[in-house]
This record gives sequence, structure tokens and C-alpha cells, in this order.
Amino acid sequence: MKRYLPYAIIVAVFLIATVAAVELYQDRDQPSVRTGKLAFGLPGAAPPHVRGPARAPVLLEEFGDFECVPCSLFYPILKKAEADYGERLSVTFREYPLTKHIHALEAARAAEAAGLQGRFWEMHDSLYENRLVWLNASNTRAALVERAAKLGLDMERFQKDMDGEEVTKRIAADRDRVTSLELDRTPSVFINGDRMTTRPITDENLHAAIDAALGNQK
Amino acid sequence: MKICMRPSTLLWEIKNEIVKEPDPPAAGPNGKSPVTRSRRLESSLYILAALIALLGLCDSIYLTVQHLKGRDVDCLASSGCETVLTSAYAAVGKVPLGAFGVAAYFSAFSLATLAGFGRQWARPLLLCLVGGMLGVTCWLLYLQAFVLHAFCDFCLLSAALTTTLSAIVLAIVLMGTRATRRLPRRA
Repeated sequence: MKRYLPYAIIVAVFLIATVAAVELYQDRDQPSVRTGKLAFGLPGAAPPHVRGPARAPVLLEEFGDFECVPCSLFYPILKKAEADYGERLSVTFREYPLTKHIHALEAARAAEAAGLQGRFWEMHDSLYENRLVWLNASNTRAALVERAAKLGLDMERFQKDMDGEEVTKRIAADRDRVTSLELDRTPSVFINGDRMTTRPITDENLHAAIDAALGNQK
Repeated sequence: MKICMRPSTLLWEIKNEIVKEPDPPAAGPNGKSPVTRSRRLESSLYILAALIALLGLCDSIYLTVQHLKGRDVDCLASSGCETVLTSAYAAVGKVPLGAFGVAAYFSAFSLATLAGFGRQWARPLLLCLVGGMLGVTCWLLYLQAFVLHAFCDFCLLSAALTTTLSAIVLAIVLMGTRATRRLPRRA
């Protein structure tokens, strides 16, 4: 009997490890997915940052953080979807700077300050496309200001707005919406109010979700 | 062969073998011989190595599942988990690096358990495996420090476990080498 004991231990550990991996793989901790149109939850900052026609059949709402890696990976996927679906897709961006990212809030403030000059999306794109530039800069604030300068913004106003009350209010309103929707990660993406739960969000599964939303319109 | 030798040489060899034959190990004060104690210590160290491999297995399973599900891994001490675990080095093709860790740690656990239960053939295999794991660990630490400029808690935990595992296996090998040296040499 003792001869087979080590083999029995190995088999037992293998079985326990397999069961543990399967249990962990299953989405037991996934928050309940709330479905419906974008009306649920608190409204967030008004007016929201929307790209695309307001009456597009597919409304995509992203809760993002400019420092987060998955968000920066999602950025080109979303850009491609916008190019592929054109007028059929509208994208709304909500600020969700995670507290664990030390520069995320400052970047969100920069984007919102640019938004007050009507240039949110240019700043949004610039922040994601040059993420490592401003993130690795010794002075993040100066790097963000440099981004704004490259976009040709009114710099005096931009610097004032970055520390201004209006930007604080907008980010707080988006934060309230995040809390009301019980979100816990970035990017969180909703398509016509349905939360995308597949992760990571790839080109294929985003297209599939948009196609499904378009199919429901018919 | 010995038949061809000169009788004087043959006699010298036989005599020498009789004289140099190691004495049976003397019993210690607790009635156990040093060899028995050494074997027990070796077995205990192998079981310790198996337990450490088990911790590494848990760490790797967690990282693999989080990668496959695309879930965030929250760092406790550092802030680079996201950078490291979503980098181009986090997977080989579509297979997450953690999956290789699962295979390596499970193999290390199995071999250490078998070696601890006296299966001699498992020992050199464990040594080779742990050597390879240590090499990969050094490479991954280099990537984190000099390429990604970010560290991930769970990767550092794995590095610490692999280093401890290597130290234990090396200690066992050194113990074995010293024990062999103590035995009188044959002419």
C-alpha cells in the first residue's frame, strides 16, 4: 500500500487542482448583469461625450481609464468598430479613473478640460495613442499640458480648467453613474444597455455584440 | 579481466578491497545511524520542496485562469500587475505563461513527492526541472526589471518560490555529494 502512496498523493493533488481551476474559471464573482436601455443607473456627466449620430441603432457606452492597459488595448478595437459600422454606431465615453492608477485622475481631468473647449475626443485619442509618453514622463502634468498644446488648445484656459470646478463635477457625476451601475473594472462596455461580459473584449466579440444589437433592431 | 593480471596485482586488489570496504554505519546515541538520519533529512527536504511547489501551483493556476478570463489581477504591493500580465511576454501564442508554470510546478511537486518517498530516479529529473525553472525565472525577472519596468506581485511570488525550491534541491545535492566524499575511496 505504501508503495502506491506517492502516486495516490499526486493523483489527489491533480484532481484538487483541476477542480479548483474550474471553480475559479466559472464566473461566480461576476456582478449580476443589468440589461435594458441606457436609462438605468444615475445619468452621469451632462452632456456626455458622444461620437457618432445620437440616433444610431447601436449605442455603445464605455467606462474607461486612460492609464489602464486593457483600456488602451480596447482603444484600437473600438476605433476599428467605429470605422466598420460608421453611422450605425454611436460611442459614449464615461470617466472611470481607477484609484489604483496614480495618474489616471489627472489624465481624466486633462481630457475633460479639453472637452470644455469641444476637443474631448482629440484629447481622448491622443492620450491613448501616446499613453506611454505621458505616463513615463517625469512630470505627468507637464506631459499632459504638452498633449493639449499639440492639439492647439487655448492653453491658459486649459490649465485653469484642469483644476476647475466644472471638471471636478463632471468626473464626480460619471463616478456616481459608475457606482449606480455597480461597476468594478475598466473598460466596462455596454451595448444598447447590455453589459459585455466576455473578456478580454476582442475585435471578434465586439463585432459579434454589435451585430447582435443590429439584428435586434430588425 | 583479473585472470589476465599478474597474481601479485590481483592479490593486492583483493586485499585492498577487503581493507577499504566501508564499515557499516555506527548507530548514534539515539540508536539511529548517520545514514538513516541523513536519508530522513533528505526525505523531509523533498517533502518541503513538494509543499513549496504546491504553493507555486496555486499561484500559477490563479494567474492562468485570470488571464484566460481576461480579468484584472490586483496587485497588493506593487502597481505593475496590469502592465506585466497584459504585455506581449505574458503569453506564448495563445497559451498564457501561467499555464507553463502550472505544468512546471505540478511536475516539480510530483517529482519531489516521489523523491521524498525514496524513488531515486526522480531526483536527477527534479534537479533538471528546477534548474530550467530557475533559468526561466531569471529571464522573467530581467524582463520585468529592464524591459517592462514594472513588477507583478504574483510573478515575484513565483520567483521567490522557484528560488527557494532551487535552494532546497541544491542543498540536497550538496548533502549527497558530501556524504559520498566521506566514504573511503577504492584504489
